[in-house]
Amino acid sequence: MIMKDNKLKIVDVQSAAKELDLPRHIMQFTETVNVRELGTLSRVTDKIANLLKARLPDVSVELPAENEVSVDNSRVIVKVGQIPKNDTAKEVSVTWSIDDDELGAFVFALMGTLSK
Amino acid sequence: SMDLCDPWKCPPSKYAWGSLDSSIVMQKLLQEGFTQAKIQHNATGFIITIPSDNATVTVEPNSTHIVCTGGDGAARLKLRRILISCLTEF
Repeated sequence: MIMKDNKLKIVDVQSAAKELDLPRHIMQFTETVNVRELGTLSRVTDKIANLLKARLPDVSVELPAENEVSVDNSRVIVKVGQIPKNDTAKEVSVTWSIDDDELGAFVFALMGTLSK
Repeated sequence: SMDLCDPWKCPPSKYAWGSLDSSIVMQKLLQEGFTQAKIQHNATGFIITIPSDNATVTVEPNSTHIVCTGGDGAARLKLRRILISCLTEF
């Protein structure tokens, strides 16, 4: 419900924001963790993809680029990177938007279990 | 009947609107204990770095990216709550 020109109106969220001249503010998150993994980047990427497939059987898990895993059509992106001068661990970063917060936070929490 | 949806696909109950005001954001961050927060303005927005929490917040007029490294998610959740409180939400 919005009040404009002394009139009350009931409108949907998108229209309300338009009437009030407020653009949507998109929030994104990236969480990066180091995981103890000896294998090559591509092996660790495969391991992460397999873990995600097992834990999210109803969601698509794909490898769109090298050392990258896409969850549910890029709603969550996982990137695996090398840590300079470190062969026993990899850097794993998880990126998602606030619209996909439950899925993103779940994937991030799952990455924390990799080393354990 | 209640509309049940896939937990991974439920739309958020609220959306944030508008832009972040850098001075309000900095004031709230300090109030909430992020005393090491430093701000740097650029052509279109600003970047806040918080070395104590290994966090960086990149703000553009219609978007915010919270980047945290090596944490358990607590800093992200706290920053998210503070930043949303600086926006219009409905």
